[in-house]
Amino acid sequence: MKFKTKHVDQLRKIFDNNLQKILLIDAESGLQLTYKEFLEDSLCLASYLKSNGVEKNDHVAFSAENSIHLAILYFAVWHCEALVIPINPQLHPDDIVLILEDCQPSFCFFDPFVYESVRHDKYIESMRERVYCFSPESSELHNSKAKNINFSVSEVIEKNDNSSSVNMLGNSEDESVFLRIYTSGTTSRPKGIDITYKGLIGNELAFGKKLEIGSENRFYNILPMCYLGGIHNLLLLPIVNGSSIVMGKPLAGAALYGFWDTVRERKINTLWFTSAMLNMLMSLRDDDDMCYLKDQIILGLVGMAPLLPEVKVNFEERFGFKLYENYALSETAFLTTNYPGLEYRKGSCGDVLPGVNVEIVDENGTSLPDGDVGQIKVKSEYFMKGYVNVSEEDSSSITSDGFLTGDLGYLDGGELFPTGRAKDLIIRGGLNISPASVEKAIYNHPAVELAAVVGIPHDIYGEEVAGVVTLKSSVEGKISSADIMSICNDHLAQFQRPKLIQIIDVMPLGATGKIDKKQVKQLLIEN
Amino acid sequence: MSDDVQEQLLSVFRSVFEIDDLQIADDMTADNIEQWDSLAHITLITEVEKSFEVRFRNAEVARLKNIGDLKALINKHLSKS
Repeated sequence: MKFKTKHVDQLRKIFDNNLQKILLIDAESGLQLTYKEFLEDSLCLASYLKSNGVEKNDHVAFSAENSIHLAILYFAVWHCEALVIPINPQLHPDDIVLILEDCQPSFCFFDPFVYESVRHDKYIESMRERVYCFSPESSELHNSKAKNINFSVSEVIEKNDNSSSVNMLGNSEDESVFLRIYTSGTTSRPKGIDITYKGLIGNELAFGKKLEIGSENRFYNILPMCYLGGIHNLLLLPIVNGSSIVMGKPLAGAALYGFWDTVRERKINTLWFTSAMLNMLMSLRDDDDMCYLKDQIILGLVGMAPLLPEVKVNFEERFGFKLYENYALSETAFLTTNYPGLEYRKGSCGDVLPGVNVEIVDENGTSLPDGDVGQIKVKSEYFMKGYVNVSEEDSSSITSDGFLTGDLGYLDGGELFPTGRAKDLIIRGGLNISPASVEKAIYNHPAVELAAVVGIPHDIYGEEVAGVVTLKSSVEGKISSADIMSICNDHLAQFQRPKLIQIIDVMPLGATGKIDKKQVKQLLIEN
Repeated sequence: MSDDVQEQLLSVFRSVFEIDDLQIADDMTADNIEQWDSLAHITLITEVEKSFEVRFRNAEVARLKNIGDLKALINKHLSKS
């Protein structure tokens, strides 16, 4: 095994060793693909992509809902040694275009509804020859000028045999960047995070070993594959550990009510939740016999947002299986985890993974002893390659001897206990929302003098977006919070919009004249 | 009875989504109302149950494809009571 390709070779080996095993199952149709079939289909698509111009180091952007075809396409791009850049299809069209302009993709793959929302943008029009749109139902879209408007993964696979010379993952090396994730930072612009094979595969092996994940685990992918949750936790982690995956849609609407039926029907035994998902499932009526879960579920995992101990306890009691919480960031992948055999301590995110060093530091960067709360600083073998186009504040979190996470917490006996956040960020249902981006939208209203947006506690989502504004004296009394909400509707995606806006007379300011967000939060909670 | 169900259901939708002039049609789905997210769906089902004094099973709700299906489910439960 070559040193430079140790992790990439490990991924190849997983496929070699599991060719006849089931890899993917479609939650709705039950369609199954073995590791061999998945590999052949993705190589076939890679051959097609190469013949259509996709080259090494190209940026290939995706904005599409979860599907088996999306997973195959991601791998096809990786076989071409190009980068996958997933973009949340639920974002406001302006934000989708902003990310596309930032990453300058060579090719784009869109769900029809995403394409519909962005196709009149000048940038998209300028690259329409390189836009692929999954077979749309709308006849209007059929008549559009995009070249690849009827792109169908199945048809490409049917029409093209795998006689090309494309190899699995091409000549990729461990340090090759294969994925760029855009996530909310401290400014209104999303930050790009470049991720290497070494970072993810190494981390997935370490995490899998701790939790004894193997071929018997069958995961249920209900996290969007436009973020690391859907790609790292529920696509690559299972693959790297030889497991199988039932591919579903994100947990919403009717799918929520049918969640347990799918778990039973598709014999899923490994579940990954966010706190919001646990809250939503807990809010459903208990009208079915759930006793089977106790024997069926071998692993329940929770991450991406803080989990309240009482939610964990209540969920475990009702559904009969244990939940293991971890701590992870997009920049670092998994850092700590609870696991079977480790006695649960309230508020603990478990032991630090091998290859990771966690330290708690004070405001001056001095290391703090066990039990003292400070900022969580990490050094990890699995750290990202780097940020792309980030603010000074975000890039300053990378220091010469570690990464400042922006989260607060303490260590005790080797276990990490996160307690809050030092940086200005809202986590709503596991999704990061930059308060600055919401404030920017509010400032589009000409009557707004000052705006401050914070996260306030919410029973289901953990946090909800809320804000206060002061108005220019000339318009006081003439503008309502509904007017401010309306401007947010024009500029923000649904999940980013404030659900509460309060107009106040005086903005709370700190000693330096900066808006005091602690006071803003308190004000909104009290009201 | 069907017109009454339509009117009462419309009133529940308007209240849950806080849209006074919202109109609903049988073929409408969550895709047609921007505010219809996961949490709104739970709230909607709970409010429909309260308003019509019915109680759905989770499996019944899981099979709903559009508002027409929801109306049919309400009618089914009302005819039983």
